[in-house]
Amino acid sequence: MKQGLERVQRSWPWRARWSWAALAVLGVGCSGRCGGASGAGPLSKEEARAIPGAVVFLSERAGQKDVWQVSPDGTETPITQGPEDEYPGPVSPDGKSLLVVAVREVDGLQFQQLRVQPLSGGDAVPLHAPRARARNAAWSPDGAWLAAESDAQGFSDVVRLEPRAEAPEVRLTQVKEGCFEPAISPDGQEVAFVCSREGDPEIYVAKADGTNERRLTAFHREDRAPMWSPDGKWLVFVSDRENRERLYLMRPDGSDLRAVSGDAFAGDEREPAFSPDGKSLVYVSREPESRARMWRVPVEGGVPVALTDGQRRDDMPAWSPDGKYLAFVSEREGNTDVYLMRADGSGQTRLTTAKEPDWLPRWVARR
Amino acid sequence: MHVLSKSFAATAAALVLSACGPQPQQETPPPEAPPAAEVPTQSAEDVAAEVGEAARRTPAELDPLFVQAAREFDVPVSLLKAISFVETRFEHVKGEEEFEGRPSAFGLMALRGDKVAEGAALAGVSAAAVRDEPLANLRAGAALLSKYAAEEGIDRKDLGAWATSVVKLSDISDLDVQANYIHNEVYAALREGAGAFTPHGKVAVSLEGSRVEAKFAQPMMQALAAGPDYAAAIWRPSPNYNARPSGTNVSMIVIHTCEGGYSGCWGWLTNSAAGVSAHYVVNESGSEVSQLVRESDRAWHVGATYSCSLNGNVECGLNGTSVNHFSVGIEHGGYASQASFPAGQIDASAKLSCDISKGQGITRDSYHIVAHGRLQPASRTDPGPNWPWSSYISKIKSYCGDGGSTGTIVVDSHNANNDSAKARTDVPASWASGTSAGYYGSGYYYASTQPISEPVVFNFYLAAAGTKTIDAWWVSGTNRSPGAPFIITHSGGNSTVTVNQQANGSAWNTLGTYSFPAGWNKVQLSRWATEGYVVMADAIRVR
Repeated sequence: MKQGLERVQRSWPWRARWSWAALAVLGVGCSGRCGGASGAGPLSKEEARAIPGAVVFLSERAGQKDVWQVSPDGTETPITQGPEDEYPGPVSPDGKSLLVVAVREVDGLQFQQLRVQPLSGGDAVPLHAPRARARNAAWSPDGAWLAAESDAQGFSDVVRLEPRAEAPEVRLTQVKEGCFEPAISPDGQEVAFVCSREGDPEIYVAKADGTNERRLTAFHREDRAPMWSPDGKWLVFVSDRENRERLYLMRPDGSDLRAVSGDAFAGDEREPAFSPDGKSLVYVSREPESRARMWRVPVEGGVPVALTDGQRRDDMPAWSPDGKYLAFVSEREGNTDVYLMRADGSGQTRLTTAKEPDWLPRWVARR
Repeated sequence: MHVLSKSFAATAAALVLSACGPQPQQETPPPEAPPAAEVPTQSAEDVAAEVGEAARRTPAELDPLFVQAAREFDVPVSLLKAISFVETRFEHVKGEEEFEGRPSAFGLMALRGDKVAEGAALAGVSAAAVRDEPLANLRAGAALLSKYAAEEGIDRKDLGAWATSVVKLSDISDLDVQANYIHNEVYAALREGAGAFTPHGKVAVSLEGSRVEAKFAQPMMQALAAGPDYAAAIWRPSPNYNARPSGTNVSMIVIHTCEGGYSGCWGWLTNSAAGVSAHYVVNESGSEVSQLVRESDRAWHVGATYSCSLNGNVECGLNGTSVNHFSVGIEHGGYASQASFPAGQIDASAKLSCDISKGQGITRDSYHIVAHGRLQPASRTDPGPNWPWSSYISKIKSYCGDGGSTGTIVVDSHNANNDSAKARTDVPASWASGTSAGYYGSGYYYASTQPISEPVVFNFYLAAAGTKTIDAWWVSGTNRSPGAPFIITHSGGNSTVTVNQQANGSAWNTLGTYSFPAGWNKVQLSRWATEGYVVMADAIRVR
């Protein structure tokens, strides 16, 4: 049999393959629009203590991944300590529980399990037997049911289940190519999600029982990760339609589409977070050398304002329940930790202290 | 080469211009300027971007460090550089454990396991320094090579004689894998030369090529068979596999990094003692792919057994639908943490993924083609800090002839969504934009029907003449024209197709099939139709 491969002959000396002209500009970077407020000093203890709520986050300090909690004045306490990896999911609407995705590898195979973890302590309630796909769960606004990704009856479907042990799952989708990333509308009447039935991911919305499905996007590249605004008037999603990852806003019927950053694209966009009053959107742009920067933009339109200076990796923004502060993750001082800042980017304050990474912050609305 | 230099210079200017973000868009469409018949496969911008990507892996000038380490331990500096190039592309890596039982690799020399401590002791530094500091890592590697050379009693001036010492520095035990590693990788680098620049355009490492042959057994002269599922691969069967359960739908492709170089990777995965495998391994430059396991069989890239005793021995209930079990795994020479991946490797991998997806009926998107880490709910580095996911998936789709590629071209009304090498829409200023629901892409343009010649022009580029079917997409409504005129310019002249835009909206509607010449072609939507309506220019598809 003839060999199907030939070694690529590199006939030129290596140096001739590159040109100094191109290399001379590699160091040229952007010196404009490089504001941000990373330098403003930390919050006073008095101001931090007055912030209502606490931040749950993922910590790797024990080796495996666990859920921890930190108060705005920096008191850290563990919430889970199981041998498997536990990822913090969304907090229940009443603020008393946290959805946790427990992940364990057994003989190299990964299993996932959704659990409801009381934030006051005590055992988590597993919702089903461990399996390969159980994640991206969302709470209904009344806390009575959840939507999640499940492979119990297919490759990946959006299912509805109650937050109790061995709760039966109701499939909201049945698509061979899979549906993903459900988001429940603020009034609990509809679910937005992604399906790949056309060969690429598109955004859909259906009633909370899975009926009346309508397709919102149509393009041959990827539209992913829909999220509702708190007033239910907008959906934000990620698309690479312009050959770069951008966040777009559209109405829940698919109309009025626009790019969140308008003419001010600064790098692949991700991790949108609506302010509790629905007026602002904070998001992250990824920049070269693994740097990431956070921006804030009015939902009704306007120019994004930088909240961080873009000199390092600052990402994973999470709004405090009163809308006055943001928790976020920063890689500075050679470490990955959860930080806190005012919603204008000032007062950046380190909250967690472990040498190992602390990340994935979520606010809990209680003292 | 001079042509390249010119294009690089142009690129340099373009990079300087674009360094501060997007430039203002042209207000009016540019005049028709027929492009050259040949579209280069790679623009100067692409090449410059690749140079920039590669340079991120070597942030500092390393040549003096290589020289210092080589002199101190009487090891040929070119040999140190060749090993470093093959193992890490001159990047100071912090490896992770990819395969149980194979320790992580560290630094420019990719030292593993006991070699870190042993090299540290010989060089008089701490093991932590060998892991963390480029010079300490080079000195440890050079000290080990020097020790092996003394043990072998070789003539240190004979570069070819160092092969046995190079093998000892690696963790490759199989003779034939060693032969491949020595002749096709380390000594190939010595012959061909290699180099890297810093992000500021300084030479990071320079290895000039020289004539040298390794004094080492040649790889087995067996006729290399093509892979059973991928003819462009070399078939290197691994014993580490089992049958998939009957009725299994292979539904995912999982992307891994070897946490080491190519030969050591396929060597490890074909060793029965390792107990792990993958279906494919792609080398660093993309010039070679190995197939180790048939796609119809289950490679052991994410575990080997079904046993499950989580949570008080609750049955896992994995009934043949678990995505973890039913995937095709591709390993890539290199490290998850490396600053960038070679364009050739991404390209070769995308071709392979396209082939797998066609053979197995796998959906080509980022939910089905995933990093090993993306099986988890979230990751700090998901989807891999530097693996270029978006362009990787789009390359796969392009090789497979999905939308926007050579097989199918979509021309959207919004040029930001078009690949400018193949698709462009010219919209007269008098047309208004709209985003009522049901559009393709990011919206549409519309204009009232009037007896004036002011069409929207959808332009598409064909590399070769061919017969293509044209589809159009619009958003229907009661005020739309029942006779919207699309004018298709083809080899035989112009054909006008009128469509009723009051119906069949938000779907592709076929206008007809025509022969088109190579180069830029056009489909126009005229507003010259019975008055009292609007016409909708949203998107066309060429297939």
